[in-house]
Amino acid sequence: MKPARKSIVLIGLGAVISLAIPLFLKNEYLLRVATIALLYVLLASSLNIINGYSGQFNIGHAGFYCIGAYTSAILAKKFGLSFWVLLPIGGFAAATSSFLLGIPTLRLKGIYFAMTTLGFSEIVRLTVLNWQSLTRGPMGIPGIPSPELLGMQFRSNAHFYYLILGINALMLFLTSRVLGSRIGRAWSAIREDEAAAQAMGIEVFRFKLLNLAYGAFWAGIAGCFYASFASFISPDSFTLDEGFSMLAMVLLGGQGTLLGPILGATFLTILSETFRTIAQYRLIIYGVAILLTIHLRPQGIAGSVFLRQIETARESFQVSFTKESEVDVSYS
Amino acid sequence: MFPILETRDLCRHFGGLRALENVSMQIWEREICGIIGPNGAGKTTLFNVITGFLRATRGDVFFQKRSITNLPPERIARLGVIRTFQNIRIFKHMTVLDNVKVGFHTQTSTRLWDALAHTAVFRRDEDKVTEESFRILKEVGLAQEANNLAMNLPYGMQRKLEIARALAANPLVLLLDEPAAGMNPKETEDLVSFIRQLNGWGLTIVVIEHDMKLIMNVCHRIIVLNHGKKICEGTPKEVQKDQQVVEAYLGRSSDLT
Repeated sequence: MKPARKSIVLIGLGAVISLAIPLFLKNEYLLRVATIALLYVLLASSLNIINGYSGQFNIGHAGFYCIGAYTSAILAKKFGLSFWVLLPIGGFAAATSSFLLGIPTLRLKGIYFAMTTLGFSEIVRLTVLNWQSLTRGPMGIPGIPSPELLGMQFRSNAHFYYLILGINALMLFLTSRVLGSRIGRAWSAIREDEAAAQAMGIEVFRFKLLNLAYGAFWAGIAGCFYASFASFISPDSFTLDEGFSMLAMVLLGGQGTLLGPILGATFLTILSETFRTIAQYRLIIYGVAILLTIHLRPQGIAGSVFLRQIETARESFQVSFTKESEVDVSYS
Repeated sequence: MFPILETRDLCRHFGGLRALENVSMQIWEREICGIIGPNGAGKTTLFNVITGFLRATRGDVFFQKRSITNLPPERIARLGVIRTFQNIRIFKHMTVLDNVKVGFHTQTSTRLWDALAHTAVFRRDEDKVTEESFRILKEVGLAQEANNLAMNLPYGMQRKLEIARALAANPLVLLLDEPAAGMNPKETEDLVSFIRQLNGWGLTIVVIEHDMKLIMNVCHRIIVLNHGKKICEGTPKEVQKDQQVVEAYLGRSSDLT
């Protein structure tokens, strides 16, 4: 099967299964788990846009998620704005905050940038925790109204399930469009080789910033959804652990593929729900899962598809193993 | 007539090491100019300073009479000074086609909104980029590999791909850093005729190379560097006869006795 046709079949299959789930899953608890799994699909996918496509190592994604959630919760409570207005506002609030993070730090590379995202995530959480006049601090914000569409209130788990499914579909649709454009190619080029990208005239800093903002935007949307879905938010929901979970999902599923984070998020959400009785060991389970992935399948679950393509491609060539000759001492 | 690319008293020091010392040279339009010199002569450093990857300690670089000294690399690339790298730097996990498409970055203007809504700008850009990319891939003989990952190409083809990507970036001056490194004699021969072909289309080419056969074959003019200084300049024949050049490569005859 051709790759294009294969992906159409895959998308169709995924759509049918995910649309049918509420019809078969009558258990409210399981439906809630499915909704949470989709929430994490959104979060992991948005993180993957940053880590997997432009290669910036962001481990503080929970910060953007938090900003989206608190922005929409506060605006909903104070001004009674509708969910549909708040959704983009939450996204743009997170994207704006990404500029504050990115402008001073995106010139840093690798682990140095990673450390600042970690710090950013904690600063956001501590601000929310201590700015009591605005956020009620550790008491959190209760009674966040649920969305309303054409006079119908979103109340049941099935409603929220279809809502987050729709958001995910929109995200995947738009993101695949961006990735298939000059912008997505510039992001990948930066991930592959920053100097070569510059040599092709790509304004590396500008495109890194755009990439971070685009990823943060969808995390903000996820935050907005979470606020109205849970109807209560507190700083506890946006700890570093939350960011680590998203990272684990991306690594496990396969970075730099659209399918990877979907599989990773679904798998890890179900795994951690199954072992809910030993929830305090959740991060240990995640750690073991990551170690196993890195050891057995460094390219992640979805990456295996990728690998098979590489192997078939390899067979069709007679790979000449010419060793790079060591010549000229360059001073650079 | 004025040189398309020129350096004036260009210096680059690394602490006490003078990698480039008062290098002044002119590259003329439509010529193929070779830069040679023993290991550590400063050839790659010269490329790095010209293309903005290293700052000049002193001196100036002019492109079409305009100073481009210490501009950021992406600005210099945008003006039409395009380079390749000594150690191949293709985008390994992208397809061959996408590698070349990246080369068109500066000639397209799709913004986020255009990509999201597939506006007319996006469609025009993509149509143009795809068509032109295939044209370039055909020219270098890589069209059949378009959808393969770049990392799976054999070595010689990877070198070709890097040149193809550079061509996509609409160069006025093309700087090739050891394009024949690691190639077998047949591949090198192909490269020579390819470089001539590009030059025939009006491209100015500067090439660093250790393969003397290639250099003497293809270059109109040669500049010789040694210890960061220009020691000789002239046609291949003149350079071959130059006493200083012979000494730089083989040592002084008195050293042997």
